[in-house]
Order: sequence, then structure tokens, then C-alpha cells
Amino acid sequence: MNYTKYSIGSSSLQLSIILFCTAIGLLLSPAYGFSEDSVRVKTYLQPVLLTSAGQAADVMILRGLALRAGLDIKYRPNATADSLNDVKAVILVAGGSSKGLGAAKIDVKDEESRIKKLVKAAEKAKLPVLVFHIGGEARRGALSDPFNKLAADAGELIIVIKGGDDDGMFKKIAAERKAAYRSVDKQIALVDVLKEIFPKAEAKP
Amino acid sequence: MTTKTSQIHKTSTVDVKALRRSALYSLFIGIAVFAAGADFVEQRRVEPLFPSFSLSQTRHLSDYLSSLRNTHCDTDIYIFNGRQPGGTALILGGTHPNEPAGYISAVVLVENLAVEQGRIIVIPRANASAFTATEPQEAFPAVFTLTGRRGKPRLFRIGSRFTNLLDGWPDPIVYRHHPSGQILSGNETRNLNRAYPGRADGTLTERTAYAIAEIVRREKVDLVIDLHEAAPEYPVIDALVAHERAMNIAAMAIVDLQMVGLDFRLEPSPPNFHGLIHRELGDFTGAQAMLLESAGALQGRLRGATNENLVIKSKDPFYTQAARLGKLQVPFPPEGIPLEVRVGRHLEAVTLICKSLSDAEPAKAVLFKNVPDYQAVIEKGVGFWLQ
Ligand SMILES: [Zn+2]
Repeated sequence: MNYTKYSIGSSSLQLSIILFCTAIGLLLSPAYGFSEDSVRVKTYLQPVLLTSAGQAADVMILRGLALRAGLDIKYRPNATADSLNDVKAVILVAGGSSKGLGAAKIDVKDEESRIKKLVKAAEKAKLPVLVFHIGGEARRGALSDPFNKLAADAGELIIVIKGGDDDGMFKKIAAERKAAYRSVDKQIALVDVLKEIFPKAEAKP
Repeated sequence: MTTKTSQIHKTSTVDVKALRRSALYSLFIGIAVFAAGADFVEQRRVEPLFPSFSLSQTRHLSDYLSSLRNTHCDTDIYIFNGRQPGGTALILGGTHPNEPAGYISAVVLVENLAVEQGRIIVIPRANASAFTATEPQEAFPAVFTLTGRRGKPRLFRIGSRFTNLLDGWPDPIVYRHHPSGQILSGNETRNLNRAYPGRADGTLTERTAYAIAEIVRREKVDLVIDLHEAAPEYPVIDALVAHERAMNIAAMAIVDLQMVGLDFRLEPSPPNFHGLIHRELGDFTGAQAMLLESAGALQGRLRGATNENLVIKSKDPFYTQAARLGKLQVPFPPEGIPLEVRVGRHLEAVTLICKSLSDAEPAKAVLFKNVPDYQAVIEKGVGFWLQ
């Protein structure tokens, strides 16, 4: 958690203490509306099911990042309701790829229906769904956005790499659904983010 | 009489002059023909490489397909065995000899490698025929010079994207890829990276592709990495393109590359685009096949003066402007994307891909030392890593 923005800079000790206590109070208050940059450390349990919404290669990158973060992940590119049996959270990596769909021989409609069913089953099993959009601008547009929306509509946490939400679509969906939203500069920064939201994970060397 | 004599005298003077003139013309033409001929023959001379002391064996592509013997596509294959058993990696440079970063990275490997585990096979001039000509109307310099570690100038050839037309004339109107039947434009007949998996009795380019596929089969290659360079406006750039069976290792390598500050895009091999090395060797052999792209202004359509400086520095005012206008697919700083950056990225990627393979499948481990990483190439320059 980053307290530095509440750091004590005033010459008046009294004022500093008041400010500090207010900051702590606000952070601890569940009703407090967090700004986009502040860190809401809701944590999740493992193992995590990792799947794609749109079959972009981004899911493989997230798998790599999660492995480097030491997460216990079950990667199932074509996860269905059955894949939820032995996991405690679901990560959806949003973004469509015609190459990915082509290589997996899946058409757009089938992929959409798989995601819808998976999300429904996760909801039923009370499993948290976390949405990652890590492909930037390249994973926005006509092919990707239906998958992006499907995923975002299911997420209780939406994490977007810079460039992927310049129009604020994800942010808007997150606000409407009262989901947590985080914008991260670079993919590699997700290693720390993943460690943070899956705190039991121990980093592999 | 006197007049006549003087006339005769005059005429003979004119004749001698004409004779001299035509002799001079002939001499000039002769010199020009000789120079052009020498230039032509010179393009076929293969510049020497100086493999590291840990080289185990040099073979030839024709050892894998005898019909390549005495053709311009026969080329040296450098084999480095580690002490410990492991997997085998095949690394190709010069698939497109107009892309110096790929060729030079392979040369740096040959001249520095010390394999500890497994085996590395390097082919620096995968399409050797394409090194014997530059592309018409592209105004590429024929050679460029780097200064080796001991101050020795090292001359490297720039070739064409395509097998020399003299080795496969004429092109058909359309190129029908074997075995998919995919149709491309006729000149692609001579593009090695559209010829895989190749054909033993096909064109010279198809036979070259076939011989490379034969290496993969006979030597039980686990990992294939083909090194390239492309235009900054091309979408698949600063990228690692991987067959679906290679995605796992490619993705781990990309994460590790990000950890050392190098961004690469992960691009899946297009399932329906045939002839590409990652698609066909991935489909037709047991290897995990991938291709690395670096960005060079030399490759682009927007480039200005195409000279040795552009080859080495890849600095170009038109590209700087294009970057400012947001028209490029990669960052293009005003100082360009010098050969150090392009080669450094390739070498770091090769190292981390091999590491990924070794982590994921220890029985196929390929581990080596003495190859400079990105920082070392940036700090010391490319030449420092050449003999
Ligand atoms: Zn190329």
C-alpha cells in the first residue's frame, strides 16, 4: 500500500497528525470512494483459473507474468464450467485475435458463448472474476471489444494496461458496476500487482 | 605535289588520331567490362567468418540434400556441442540477406558461442544465393564494414530478400506453395521464408528450405529461431512470432525480456499463411519454431539516402518525422535504431528463449555462455564482438 501521498510535509506537527489520522481513517473506511490510482488491496485466493476471452496471445503473457509472480495458476485456454471445480478465483484476459481464434479453430460466436457460460458458472459458484486487458490499443476495436465488454461486465476487478482504455470504456463499465479499476503502465508491472492481490503467492526465483 | 604530300600527311595524322581514340575507347570499355565483371564475381565471394574455439564441427547444407552441392545455396553450418547432454537449437541468420541484424547476430553467435549444455547449430547465411545480389532499384550498398575487436575491418555483404534471379530465372507469374497450394506473387518463388517445408526436387529455394527442414528432422532439433529485420511501419515488428506449440516458451521469454527492459510483441504464427518457417516447421517437424523481428529503417519505404550509414546507424530524418506523426509501429528515436540495438535485442532474445526452453523442459536444455547480452552489445558496440 502506498502511503506516500499522505506524507507529512507540514511544519505544524499538530496539523500533520490530524492529516495523517484522517488519511488512515479514510483508507480504512469501506465507504470511501477510491481514486483510480489508489491501491485497493482486496486479496484473492489460489489456485486461479486463467483463461482468455477472445483467444489473444495476451493470455500467454499473463500466464508468464503470473508464473514469475509465483501464482498457482490453472491455465485452460478453453475453460468451461467444469474447469471451476478446483479453483478459488478466475482471471479472464480480454481481447480478441483472429490469429488466435483461427489457430484454436474457434469462431467468435462460440468463444462468446463459452465466456458467457463460464462467467455465469463462476457467479453461481461465488468465485471472483478478475479481468485483465493487457494488449493495449491493439486489443480494442471491432473484433476485441465484444470480448472486452463481456469480460468487463463480469469482473469485480478490472486491470488495464496503458493504451487499452484511452476512451475510458473499461473505466466507465467499472464505475457502473462498482468494480475496482486499475490502470497499470507496463505489462511487467503486473508481476507486483499479481503478488499483491494474491498475497500467499511466493515469488519464484 | 607539295600540296598532295601535305594532304597525305594530314590524312595519315587523322587516321592515327582516330586509331588512338578508338583504342582509348576500347580500353575504357575493356576496363568497364572488367570492373563490372570483377564486381559481379566479387559478389559471389563469401566473406570469411572466425568461429569461436568451442566450435565442434562445420558442415554444409548440401550434407542434408546432396543436390545443393555446387549451387549458390550451399552454405556453412556451424555446430557447437555442449559437454552436458540437452536439447538442440537451430538458429538462422541471412534468411533475408538484406536484413543485416539477422545475419550479424548469427555471426556474433558463431564467433563467441561456448555451449555448456545441449547443442546449437547456426546457419548465418541461410539463403546463400540471396547474398550474391542486391535488389534492383533499391540502391542498397553491396557491403558494409564493422571494426572487429582487434581493430581489423570486417566487411559484410548485403544481399537481397530473394534468391538471386540467376539461380532461378524466370519467375512464374504466380507462386504456388508446396504442399498447401497457396498462391502468392511470382517473385515469392525465391523467398526462403515462403518456401517451407520445402521440396527435395523443387526450385533452388524450395530445396534450400527442404535441407533446413532436413537438419531439423535428422538432428532432432527442438527449437528453431529465425532472425530478421523489418520496416518500422510494418505491424509485426519488435516481435517474436511463434508457432502455437512454441507459445509457452515464447511467452515466458517475452516476460523475461520485459524484465530486462526489452519489449517484444508476442505474435502467433498465422494458421492459414503458408511457407513461413514457424508455421511449416512447427507443423511438419517436432521443433518449436519461432521468428524474431527487429526494426530497421533500411527495410522501410520511407527511407532517404540508402547507404552504409543507414545500414549501421538506421538513422533517418524521414523516419524521425514519421514517428513524430505517429505513423510507425515502434518507437523511432531521432538517433535511430542502430545495429547495436537490433543485434543486442536479437541476442538477448535468443538467450532468454533458450533459457525458457531449459526451464520448461530440462531434458531439452540449451545453455551457453560468452554471448553478449543487450547491455554488452550497447556498451561495447557490435564490432567488439567480432574477431
Ligand atoms: Zn525478413
